[in-house]
Amino acid sequence: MNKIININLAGRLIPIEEGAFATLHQYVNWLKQYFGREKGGDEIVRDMEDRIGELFQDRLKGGTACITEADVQSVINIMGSPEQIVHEASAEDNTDEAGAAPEPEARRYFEDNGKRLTRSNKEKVIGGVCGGIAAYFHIDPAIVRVIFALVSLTYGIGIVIYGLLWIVLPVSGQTHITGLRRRLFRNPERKVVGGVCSGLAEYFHVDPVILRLVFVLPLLGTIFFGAVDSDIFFFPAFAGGIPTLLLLYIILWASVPEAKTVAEKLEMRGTHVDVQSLSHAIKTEDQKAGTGEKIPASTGQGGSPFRVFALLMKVLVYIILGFCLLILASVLVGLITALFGIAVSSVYVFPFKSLITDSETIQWVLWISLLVLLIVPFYAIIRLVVRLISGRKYAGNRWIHLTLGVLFFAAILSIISIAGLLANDFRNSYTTDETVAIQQPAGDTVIIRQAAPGKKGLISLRRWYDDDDLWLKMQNDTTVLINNIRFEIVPSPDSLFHLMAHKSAYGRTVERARSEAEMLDFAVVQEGNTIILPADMSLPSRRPFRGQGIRFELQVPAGGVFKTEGMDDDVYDRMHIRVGVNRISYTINEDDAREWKDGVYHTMEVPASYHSRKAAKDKDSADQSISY
Amino acid sequence: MNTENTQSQMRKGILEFCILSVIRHEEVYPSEIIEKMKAAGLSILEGTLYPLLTRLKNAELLRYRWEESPSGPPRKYFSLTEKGEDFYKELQKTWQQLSEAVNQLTQ
Repeated sequence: MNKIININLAGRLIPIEEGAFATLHQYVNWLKQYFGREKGGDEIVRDMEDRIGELFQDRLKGGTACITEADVQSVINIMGSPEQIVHEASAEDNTDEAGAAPEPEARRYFEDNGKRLTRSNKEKVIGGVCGGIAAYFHIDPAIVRVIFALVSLTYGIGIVIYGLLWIVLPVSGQTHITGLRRRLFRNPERKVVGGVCSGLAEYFHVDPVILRLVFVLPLLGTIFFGAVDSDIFFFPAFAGGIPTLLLLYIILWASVPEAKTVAEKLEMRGTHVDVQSLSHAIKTEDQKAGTGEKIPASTGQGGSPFRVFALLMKVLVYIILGFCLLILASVLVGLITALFGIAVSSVYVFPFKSLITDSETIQWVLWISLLVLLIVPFYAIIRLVVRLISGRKYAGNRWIHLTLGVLFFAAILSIISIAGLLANDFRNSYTTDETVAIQQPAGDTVIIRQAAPGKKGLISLRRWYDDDDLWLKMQNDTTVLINNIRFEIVPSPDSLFHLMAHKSAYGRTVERARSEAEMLDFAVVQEGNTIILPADMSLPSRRPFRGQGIRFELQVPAGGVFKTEGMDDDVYDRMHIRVGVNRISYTINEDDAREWKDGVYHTMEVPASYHSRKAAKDKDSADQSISY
Repeated sequence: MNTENTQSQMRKGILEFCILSVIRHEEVYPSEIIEKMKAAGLSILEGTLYPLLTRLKNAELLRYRWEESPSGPPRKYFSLTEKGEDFYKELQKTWQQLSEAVNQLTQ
């Protein structure tokens, strides 16, 4: 049974067994001796004693009546047994009597690459080029990425530059960007829409109004140029004007973070973040919340005229910047707009779906394929741009990408095959020959007019090689009108006027073409000497468009007089009179095609050779197809 | 080569840095430092910490003040001096270089 004694350990009263005390005393002596060599060794031992006392006191509070040998041993283990302390200390060779101060001659353990431009191994999305540049210039890597993304949009120049840099710059892992003074954030305090302009303004220390102008100006520019109807150089850029900067704004909105914490707000303004500025900022925030005043965004520069000038310069620079942004971004946006346009027009076209094919299945497949064709690239492009800008890696689900890719491919395939199917439907054609009953005009003079078309035009198909203007219109929900009307004037085989109508259509087989052709309906009106031809014909309801057309043929006897009214050979006109060498005998000399004059009376003169020539030609042409 | 020796060398190298970090974060007393380091995964002997603290204080990188504790005698609360702050920044740089170099080499 051990005697219990009370000791004073660094001001604490500790009841301890005698044997335990002996161990403790030995330990403390060792400490004194060991640390005695050191400067401040006394203090070290004193502190350790104090700690030991604390530990003992904790145990006593825990319930034990007095400190036992086991307690002492465990405390020694916590503090470190002599062996452990020596072991730890022996691993030192630097910090000895000289103290913990660093060595006077700076020993270089590492290469200091701080001053070289390198690629960053740490801060990278693709190759670390932007990260390295950002580290070198000590700016926010997000900014560098935005710049690269924008420059890339001019015909990929940025990509070329990026590739070059990737090859040329060495990799370095040391480009850690600490304590960025300025980072690009969105400013939630002074925001109109999303705080993008405010955030940018803070970063550049400009008035946000300027940036808002930059975003809005091209919008106005587009409207302006659109009204002027330009084939100007800028047209692609301004066509993309509205979507360009809108898209840019949206992308920035998505990728630039909002400055939420006080520290972030300080960073946004470029103020150094430390304890003092933080606490000051927090106080100001509280005041602001109380009084509702705003923190001024930009600091003034002394001197009023200077300030105005500087402001103007800044405005100019940023307007130019805005235009550059606009032009640079137009390529990408042109792509997106085109895709968008397809989607929109397919929505538009959708009511016309019955024109494309009468098969419901094909209609739906086509519709879905178009949608996929639009959405997938749209999504991919947006993602790419956002990634480039923010450097954030979206959680890209492999399976989603795979599925989208497959869908896209399938959509392309199906569109190709549908196109093939449709092309098949135009393989054969058929033309009917009908006689339209007309009254012989008095005085052998005929006037031909065309009815005025209705006002509701919708789609225009223009075929350049023929200078034709073929259009389709929806008259109501079920009727489609086509203006594929042709008109010819030929000599009559007899002494009477005749009006022939040749209806034609295309189809997969001749029979189908024929049935399509025969379904066509038209109305010819005669008022005295005037024959009024229809401006268009209506497609039978729900028949698909298969190149249906009507060719009217007015046969004028020799000596008969004819004139047309309101039908000029104009590209934009509704009818087209073919004054071809083979068609109107009116041209006596084959090489000398006379110009057709509208509103002038012509007399049909038929050379003698005409009919024999025509007979020969008719024998040759077994092909009934109408050439457009 | 003794594994333990090398391991201990590795630890030894960053101990100062870690301790300074803890103190830089907020004013602490010694056993608090040990607790925090243990919570972070580094265990250190009190017998190593106290000498280190004293040395750092003697080199004017740390200062302390006494504060009354609810349970017993007053405690020393340590904080970084300006010199200590500079010293810390130097160590921080070195640590970054070191850790990135090591990460790269050991990839």
